[in-house]
Formats: sequence, C-alpha cells, structure tokens
Amino acid sequence: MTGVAFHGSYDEALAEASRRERPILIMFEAPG
Amino acid sequence: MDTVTYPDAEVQQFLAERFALVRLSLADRGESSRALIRRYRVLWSPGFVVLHRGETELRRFIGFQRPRDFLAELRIALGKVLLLERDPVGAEAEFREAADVEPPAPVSAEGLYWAGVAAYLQEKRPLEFLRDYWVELGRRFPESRWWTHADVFRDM
Repeated sequence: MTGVAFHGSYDEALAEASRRERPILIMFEAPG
Repeated sequence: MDTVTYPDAEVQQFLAERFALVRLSLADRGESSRALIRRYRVLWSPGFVVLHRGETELRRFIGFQRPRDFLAELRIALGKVLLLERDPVGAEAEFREAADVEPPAPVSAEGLYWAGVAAYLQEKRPLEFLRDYWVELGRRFPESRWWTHADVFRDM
C-alpha cells in the first residue's frame, strides 16, 4: 500500500481529469 | 517510490488534490496499456508523464524522485497547465514554489526560469519582471543550463 490512489486504467484517470478539471499523471513502473 | 515517496504525507495530499493518477506496469499486456506505452515510448522506469486535458504532454521525467524533488517536478508541470489555462498568476506561484524549495531541487533553476516567464505574461507587465527573475536565476544557479537560456539580459 502506497497511500496514493492510482487508477488502474487510463480511461478511469481520463474521466476523473475531465470531471475535476485536473491534469493526468501517468506513472509507468517496472514489471513486478 | 513505493517505500519513500508515495508514503510521504505531503506527496499524498498534493497528488490527491491536484492530479488524476494512473499507474501502469511496463509489462502490462492489456491493449489500452500497451497503446499508452507505445504512444509515450517509455524507455525506463519509473517514468512519469503529465498530460493536460488528456492529450497535451506537458512534462516527462524518469527515475526515483525523493518527495521534495517529486513535488518540485509536479509544481512545474502544474505551472505549465496554469499557463495554458491563462492563469499566469497561479502559474507563477507554482513555479516559484519549485524554485524556492530548500535545499534546492534539481529542477529549481527551471522553476525560476518559468516563474519569470509567468510573471512577464501577466497583464501589462514590463520586461523588467522577466529580467528580475532571470537575474536572480543567474545569481542563484549560475551553473544551470536554464541560466544559459536566460542569459539574454547581460548586454542589454
């Protein structure tokens, strides 16, 4: 648990970004 | 990031209040994730991309970020968002925060550069607003590449 609420899909983040007028931060992480 | 930066209370609050967040593994086989990985051509992890309105890439950075440095990166991204949203006053404040973090973050000089731009872009501001920031940039960060980009006032 990181304490940060990431979406698991881009579409979910895009919907939130549109609804709340926010930029999107995508974090690409290493496998595993 | 999971053990140092994301557990940081200030990072958590900042992310929760200012961004829509998505986390993808470079090994993800899902079609939409693969499309994003291809679209942004991510070469290393962790990799971070900030998008405005879901389409315009405003910032990209890679590698482990300590909380202070991560917040400074994100403030510069937010400053650019606010410039695009025609809010140079808000943008200047974000850039200034990135510039003034103590001890300085790796992107503090860049923050000061953009703070000058945002100050100048405010209504009816004379060029002195930009010059004052960039003179400060040369004084505080003379080894920075951002000072080389700002060194246009030396002979004026």
